[in-house]
Amino acid sequence: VWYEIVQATLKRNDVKLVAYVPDKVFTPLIKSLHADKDFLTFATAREEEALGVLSGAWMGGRRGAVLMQASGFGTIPNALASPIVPYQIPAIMFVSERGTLGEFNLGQALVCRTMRPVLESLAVEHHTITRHDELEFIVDRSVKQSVATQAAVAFILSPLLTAGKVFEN
Amino acid sequence: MPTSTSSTAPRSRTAASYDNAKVVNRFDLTKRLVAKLKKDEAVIGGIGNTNFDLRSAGRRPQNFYMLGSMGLAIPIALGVALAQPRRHVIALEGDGSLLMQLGCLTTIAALKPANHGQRPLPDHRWPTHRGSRKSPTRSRSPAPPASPRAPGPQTRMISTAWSMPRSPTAGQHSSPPASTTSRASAPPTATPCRSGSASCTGSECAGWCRGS
Repeated sequence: VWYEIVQATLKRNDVKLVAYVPDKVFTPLIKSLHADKDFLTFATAREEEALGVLSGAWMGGRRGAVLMQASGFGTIPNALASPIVPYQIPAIMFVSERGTLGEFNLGQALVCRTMRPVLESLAVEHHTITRHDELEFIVDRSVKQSVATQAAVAFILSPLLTAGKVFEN
Repeated sequence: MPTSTSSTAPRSRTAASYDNAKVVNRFDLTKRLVAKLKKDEAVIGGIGNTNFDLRSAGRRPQNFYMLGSMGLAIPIALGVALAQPRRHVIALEGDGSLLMQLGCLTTIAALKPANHGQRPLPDHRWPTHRGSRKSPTRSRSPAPPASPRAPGPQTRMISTAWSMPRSPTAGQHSSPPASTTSRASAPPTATPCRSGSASCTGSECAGWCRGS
């Protein structure tokens, strides 16, 4: 399952501090991380704040990742512009791609369209992951590269991978 | 905290009561803090004046002079505290900056019991207020801990007034609310110097007052 692969890959790369803002699609990953005592998993009030914690943790010698929804990404450009990019913090970001492939919420759709241009304008590497068979390769290699080059990376997890939000009734 | 008893009280009376108040100077406080550091305490400066004060109080490699990340001094300090649970971590943050990221306090409070046996914190200190008279953070000082804290790792948060007057004798006593101040810097006041000394020639405040 996708979230088990993500969790195992993070653990293997010693990325064991995970801050998140809750998202329905990421809920199984969040629950699984909480259940794994090797991880320090905690919610933050905002995505910016999570990036701040990751920055401090990196300065203290510990690798971290942040989980957020695409709409949450809309709140972090300033945190990317400082401290993440200028201070060369290898922030590992997982973004649950919302506002595409069948969602009705126009607000999410607009943030979804601005997300990649923002990442590109800040020269932050990003990968949209759609397939299980590519997930481990992309995450494993990119985490290693992120740490080695001290540059942030964003993984955009497509509904094609996660099944997206399941609409009830 | 002196306050006017009537909205029609003469301006001079209000000002006089402020003049008689004991005011803590932010830079002086920072200098005292740095002078008391003993080990490898990590100190995270907030955006703007808290950062400049920290630098002016004497450079140390354990300090982080943050630029541009308004509101993130406390989250960054939390990250250091989580990564290095044996190290004492201090965040200097302005009240306006804190308002931009108030939610970080809930994160710290929530992590307290679940932090792998570490206790990164709660010793909230709010020692200085007077400058931001209209700020919601003013005069909301939490009561001190009822019992002595157990020794161990902790994060200390010090909120300093965003628009703290440079001098207790400054003529202008009204400060804009934090929400209306510029993100880039505090409003330019300088009467006569942020060190609080009327006779400062630049040596007490690391040159801040020169040219003002």
